Amino acid sequence: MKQFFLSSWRAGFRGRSFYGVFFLGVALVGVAYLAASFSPRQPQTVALDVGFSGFRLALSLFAIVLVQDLVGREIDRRTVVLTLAYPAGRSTYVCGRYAGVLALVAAASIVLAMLLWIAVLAASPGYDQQFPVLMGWPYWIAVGGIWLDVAVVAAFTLWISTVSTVAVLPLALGIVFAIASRALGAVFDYISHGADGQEVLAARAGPILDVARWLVPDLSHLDWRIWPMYGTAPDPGAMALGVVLALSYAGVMVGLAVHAFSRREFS
Amino acid sequence: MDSLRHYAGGIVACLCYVAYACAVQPLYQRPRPSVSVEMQVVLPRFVQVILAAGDRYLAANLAGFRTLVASTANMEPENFRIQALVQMDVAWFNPAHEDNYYLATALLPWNGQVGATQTILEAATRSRPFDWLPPFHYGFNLLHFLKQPAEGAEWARLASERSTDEMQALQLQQMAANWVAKGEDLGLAVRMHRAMADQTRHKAFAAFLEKRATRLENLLVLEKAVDTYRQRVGTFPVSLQQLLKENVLADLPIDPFGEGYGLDSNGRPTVIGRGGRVRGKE
Repeated sequence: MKQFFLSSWRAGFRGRSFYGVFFLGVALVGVAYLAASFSPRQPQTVALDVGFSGFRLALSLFAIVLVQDLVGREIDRRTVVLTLAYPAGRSTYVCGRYAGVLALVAAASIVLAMLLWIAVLAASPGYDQQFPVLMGWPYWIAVGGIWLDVAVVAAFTLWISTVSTVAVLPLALGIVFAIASRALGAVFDYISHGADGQEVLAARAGPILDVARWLVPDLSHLDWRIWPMYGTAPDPGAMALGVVLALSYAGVMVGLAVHAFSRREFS
Repeated sequence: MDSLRHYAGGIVACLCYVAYACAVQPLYQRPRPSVSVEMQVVLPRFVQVILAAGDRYLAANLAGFRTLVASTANMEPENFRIQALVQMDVAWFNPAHEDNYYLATALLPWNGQVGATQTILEAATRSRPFDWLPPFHYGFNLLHFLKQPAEGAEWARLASERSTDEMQALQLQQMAANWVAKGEDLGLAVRMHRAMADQTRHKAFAAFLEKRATRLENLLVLEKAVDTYRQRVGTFPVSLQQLLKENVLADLPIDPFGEGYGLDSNGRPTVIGRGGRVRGKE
């Protein structure tokens, strides 16, 4: 597994997509810095808030593109056949690639989080907002939550890569999954509270959402940004359950990916 | 023939550029539809979340930026109704959003959207247990707009419990007691506007709040003048000119927003809009 992990790590840094998405992340941190100027009362909180949103967007794209590059494209070009000539199991290949993607995402997370940290503290000099942001442990725990969220998105994209016979399908479905899994909590909340009085919509969407939550994880449970932004720690029980939900779902996806890849025939 | 084929790409590009150049000038001379800076549209909440890549905090910020850049100078009641809906959406996406409750307090209740403001402030009170301002503003709105001083005082007491400054907590308790005893206090509204202007770093918004404070001060002056007139003459004045004739006032105050003052059907001073519309104590 180690050689697949290391080859993923090296290939990730060699690929142009790594730098493309990484510069997108840096640009989004810049947007977060500028967004602070819109706020009349809490510039650093707004910079942090917008920064977390951009951070999650860039990291999700980064993970999806990496999985596409390291697994999807290898299968598409049949270069995977050469890789499988090594005396190693197919499951080792899938797990090694996934571990490599997670490590690359972690490295990008640390760099982008440090940039955002600087951008937030530099936002709005000369104005002390009444309620300061917490940039110590709460900040890094919120960054960890985003990394875990992206790990689930990467696991889903990995599974799609192993079953897909269309080159762009993992990219497209990975993006749809990243949006849907994040929006699920808000949409469920909206529908369960009556959808602003739209009874027909609530009646139609309610049963669909009841099924959807068993298939798509609600990744909004991994968004712990209120802690660094407002100093209100999320419920530890809910945080722990969110972590269990994410890890188990990622486990299911990696398991399905190993299953599909082990049975796939490369002609 | 071969040489023509060799240059075909360049020739096509030149011809297309000539067509482009012919279209540019007349297009730029045509009048453009003016972009309305007032609030006109509100999207369903789940659509806003999807447009923000599923991120409800980003949806809150995007809607929040809309409310910040919207011009309130020429807003009609319908625009304020839509602004209230957008700000309630922000409170739903992120109830702890500080700018949202601050802006809502500064704009909405003074333009007929008291219910929406109270919804936003109630959500902020729940999600910001460390902040004394949302319950204070909620209580003030109960006192000033809804004429419920006793209920307002309860919220002022909640604000005093949250205040970390001992002196401020005492002042809030004193204020709560005064609300129950005296009822409405226009002077407090003036002081509140000045305090809010001090709290923001946006100079234009602070200037707007200062103008509103001046308007309320003018109304306070007129209120006192009407009371003096009633004591002297025994009846309410029919127009503000009577205050000048009776030498109760030397001259009428000038509205900082360029509108005017008049008297409502009860003889109390009020703001008269540009079209002669009675706008209340905005």
